[in-house]
Amino acid sequence: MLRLGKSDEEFQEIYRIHQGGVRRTLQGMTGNSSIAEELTQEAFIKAWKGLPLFGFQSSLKTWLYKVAINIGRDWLRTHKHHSLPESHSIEEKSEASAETQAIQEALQELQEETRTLLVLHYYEGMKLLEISKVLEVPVGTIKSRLHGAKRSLQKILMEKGFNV
Amino acid sequence: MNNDFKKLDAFMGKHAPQAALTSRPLKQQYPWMGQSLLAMGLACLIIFGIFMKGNNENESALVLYQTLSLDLTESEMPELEEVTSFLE
Repeated sequence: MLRLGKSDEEFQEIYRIHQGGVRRTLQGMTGNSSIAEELTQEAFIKAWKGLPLFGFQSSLKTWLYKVAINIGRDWLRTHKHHSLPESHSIEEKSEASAETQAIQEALQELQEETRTLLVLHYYEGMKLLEISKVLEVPVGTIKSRLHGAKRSLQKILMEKGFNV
Repeated sequence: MNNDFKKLDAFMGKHAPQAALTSRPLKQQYPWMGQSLLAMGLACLIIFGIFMKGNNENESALVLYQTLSLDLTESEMPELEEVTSFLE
């Protein structure tokens, strides 16, 4: 098990393990890879500063995702009325399948809470209990919200012509 | 709920960003892995068992030849079955 401390090596290990998931979550939330990259850096800087205060009340992963989601929410609040710049280069677009693009577009049509919930569930493969800890919402509520979120995503994807 | 979203779950599992898979539990990433590993393990056990059985037979034959003080090279040794049937 990773011993928590503020040494460079320990933090590098934490970064190595979790940066992919944190960046993916932020990309799912913002719909933009460049912004997700910046916010990931910001999240880990905040985590680095807050690490000595981390009191093992939750798992390190849960805590890191909480930090990242709060940063993502702050960014979304600040840029509420801004249209999101396109996140993919032409090359990236041609590599991504039509289905993957449709998923990303569909997620952006949803409310932030719903989107974050779906990202944690589908992108990060988190279980209901883990999502409830990250979002600090009871498991029962997460379960019913996830049902509604799936229904909304299903509707959008069906409107886009996918048989889901 | 699961039935309602079976197709959606499969679609998302297949087309959600690939990198996302790396953080998922192995069981979720490779649901076939458990059964395959079990099958491979069983196959290895069977092969190992056959191999050991063969070895034991050879060793038994060797002990038998030594007991009978047969001065034979390995290539000259008869099969174990032949010796045991002869002794019977």
